[in-house]
Amino acid sequence: MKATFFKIFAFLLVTVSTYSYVGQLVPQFEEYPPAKKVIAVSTPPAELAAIGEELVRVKGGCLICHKVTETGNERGPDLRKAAGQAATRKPGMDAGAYLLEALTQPEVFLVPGYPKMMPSALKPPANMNLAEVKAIIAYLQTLGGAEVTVKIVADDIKAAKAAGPVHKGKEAMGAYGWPGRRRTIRPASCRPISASRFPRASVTKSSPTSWACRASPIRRPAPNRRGRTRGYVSGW
Amino acid sequence: MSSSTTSPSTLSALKGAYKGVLKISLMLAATYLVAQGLSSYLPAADYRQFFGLSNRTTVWIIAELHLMFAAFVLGVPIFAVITEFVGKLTGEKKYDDLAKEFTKLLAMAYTLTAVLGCILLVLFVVLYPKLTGYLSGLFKPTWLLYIVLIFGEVIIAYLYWYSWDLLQGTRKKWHLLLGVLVNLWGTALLFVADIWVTFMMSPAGIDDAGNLTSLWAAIDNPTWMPINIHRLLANVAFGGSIAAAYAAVRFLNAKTDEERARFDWMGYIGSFIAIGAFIPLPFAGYWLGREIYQFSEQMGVSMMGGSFAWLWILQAMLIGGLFLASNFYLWLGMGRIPGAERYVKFQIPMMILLAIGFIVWATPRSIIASGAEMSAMGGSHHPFLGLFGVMAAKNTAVNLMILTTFFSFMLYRRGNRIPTVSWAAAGKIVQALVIATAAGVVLGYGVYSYFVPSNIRIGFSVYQVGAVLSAMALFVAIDIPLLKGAKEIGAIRWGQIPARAQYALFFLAISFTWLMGLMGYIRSGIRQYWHVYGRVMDESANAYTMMHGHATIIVSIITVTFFLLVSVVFWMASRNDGKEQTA
Repeated sequence: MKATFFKIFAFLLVTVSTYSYVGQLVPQFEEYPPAKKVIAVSTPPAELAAIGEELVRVKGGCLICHKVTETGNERGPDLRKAAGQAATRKPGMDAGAYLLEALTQPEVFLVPGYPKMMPSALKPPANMNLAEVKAIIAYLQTLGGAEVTVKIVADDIKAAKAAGPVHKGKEAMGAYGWPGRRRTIRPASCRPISASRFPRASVTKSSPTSWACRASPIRRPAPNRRGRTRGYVSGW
Repeated sequence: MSSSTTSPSTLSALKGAYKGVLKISLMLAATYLVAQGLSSYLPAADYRQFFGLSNRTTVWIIAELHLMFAAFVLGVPIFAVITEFVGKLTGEKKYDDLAKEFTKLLAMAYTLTAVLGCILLVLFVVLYPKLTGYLSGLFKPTWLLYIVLIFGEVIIAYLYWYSWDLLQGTRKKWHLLLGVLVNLWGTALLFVADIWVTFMMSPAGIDDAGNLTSLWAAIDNPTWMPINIHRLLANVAFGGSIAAAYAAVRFLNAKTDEERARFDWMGYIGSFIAIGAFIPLPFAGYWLGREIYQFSEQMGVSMMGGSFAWLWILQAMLIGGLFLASNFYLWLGMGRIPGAERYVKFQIPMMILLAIGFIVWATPRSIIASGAEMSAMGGSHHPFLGLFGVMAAKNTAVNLMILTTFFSFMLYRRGNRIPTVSWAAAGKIVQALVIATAAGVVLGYGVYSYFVPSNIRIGFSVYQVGAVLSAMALFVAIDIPLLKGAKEIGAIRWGQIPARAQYALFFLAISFTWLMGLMGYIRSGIRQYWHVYGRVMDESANAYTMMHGHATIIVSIITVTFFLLVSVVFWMASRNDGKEQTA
């Protein structure tokens, strides 16, 4: 009986080791959450385009369907040509307006030959704000070899602040406490404000007031075992 | 549930149920106390580590082990009660004995499931206090329902086991009713547990700030029902494969021919159940995939064409292996069927077809290549092999593999029988045409898929699946009257099967378990850095997608741990059997 057990156990180890071995043969990579980028009215065009590139690669998940190099996915149009072709896509619409619409309301106009599958950049899971969308446009413009013409205005920044922290985990989770008892969390750095001023910032549905919070210091996550610190988002 | 020998009295049945309720009550009370105690004792935090181990990996391992045992204890009663029902209909005691043998395996497994569930709950509360608080706040009514269902399941399951000998003869129908109730409560438990998992994948019923707007919408989220069905089928397939592995162990350790025959038959039934439930599983998977795409195209593409795409190559290897092993087992089994040698000629063509299907399914769309290699290939995709890397080819391959396995089983079924009905020849021709038509439809849509966009292409899988399912239904509908009153060449020589067939059964069980672990990781991993996709972000240090190599090692650790724990279950069941025989 013991011999049978050991034979079966050896068979088990060989089988799972084979599967794990094949797991080592496929391409290996780690994917990290998007890093927080601060966009301001004064952000220079080159930096804005660099932020846009990072957003395209990570937070936006754009490269799942599009390509920015010769090799890449072709479910959606080639992004290298996006800015160049933008001015002629819709009659009467300039390139900047078209790109903004294509990113925020992609269902309005579909490039011929491509299916309706792109989610709005303003909605989850990309969940960007307008300043981030404009950073992507800046990147698309540089990608096509053009000059960055997109401008960040004060309203974009204000709108971004007002919109947060809608999808940020801590705030959403802070409204609840174990074992399921709802409670309103008021961080020390918060003060009550009028709900109409910050319409999407309410912590709980039932709370009559919302909380305006001072920017909290960015807490860096612990480095992993390779000593690499992972990306961290403090909210947007 | 104690696995001690049952004695036929009402008192012992009630005593058994009482012990079960007491045990689960104590476990739940201990869980609550430990969770509350640790929560109060430990400093407040959003996330905590587990003695220096990653909180994600710790929860992953325990959750997966709990899920595997839960799948086993929910899957086994489904086919145990069906076997019992067959016994009642045919009046053959061997079916009743087999159903009891299956149920005996549940004894220790129930306890292990409950213990792992309690550990998991403590880990959730201690390692992810904020997230657990948020989810339990949203789903409080379902938690209460879950506890009620647990107690209901425990009481009925214990009564089902302890009243086996008591409710025989004319009272058998009451025992069958208990069996049906065990399954209804178990299914309800599964459906409730799936609410939390699927909400995290495809949240609904909450507003932008994460507050609940509709509990029902949160429950009936886009992936809830597809996962319910997918898991229900997977539980049966998994339970069948583990029961077959138990029979294989008993077969290899058997001392007498009678024992060998008994466990050979049990292994066959277990593998039949596993393969039977496994065949419609990819179809349920298509439905789930379709719902994921409809909920979030980005999530769907991440799963199939993004970060997780390479793990599907592994999945293809596993499923291809499962098909090959199950056919191999059936072909070896034909050796104990007088007359089955007539069908040996089909084995080589079927093996070639399965091997081609396996190769196509395991072909990646794009490969890691250097610039020089890519320019030699003419791009990132190989000009010829790249054609086999897309879903169009893979859907075609898997449907043909399913059809082949079905055909293999049908040949096994008629191995020792010769139809005697007057329309036998015509019936066989129609059956052959049915299979050929289904294969034609699968191939036709497979080729046509290359000429249409992806959103249309994914819909073709429905027609391919429909053709295969219809062909199987039609084939069986003809086969039943065709073999009615068939001439039997000889009786099946149960027990006369090579030992390597038992290793095919182990392979099925190990591969099913590993596959469950892998698919569980993909399902959970496609949320990426979100606890609740697009709504509640994972802000812990572990909010990253790990390398596939690391993930597969963890899946292997889970599989080995599961089998070590299952061997305890097997040992307890065998020990009890020994006692019964001595008595």
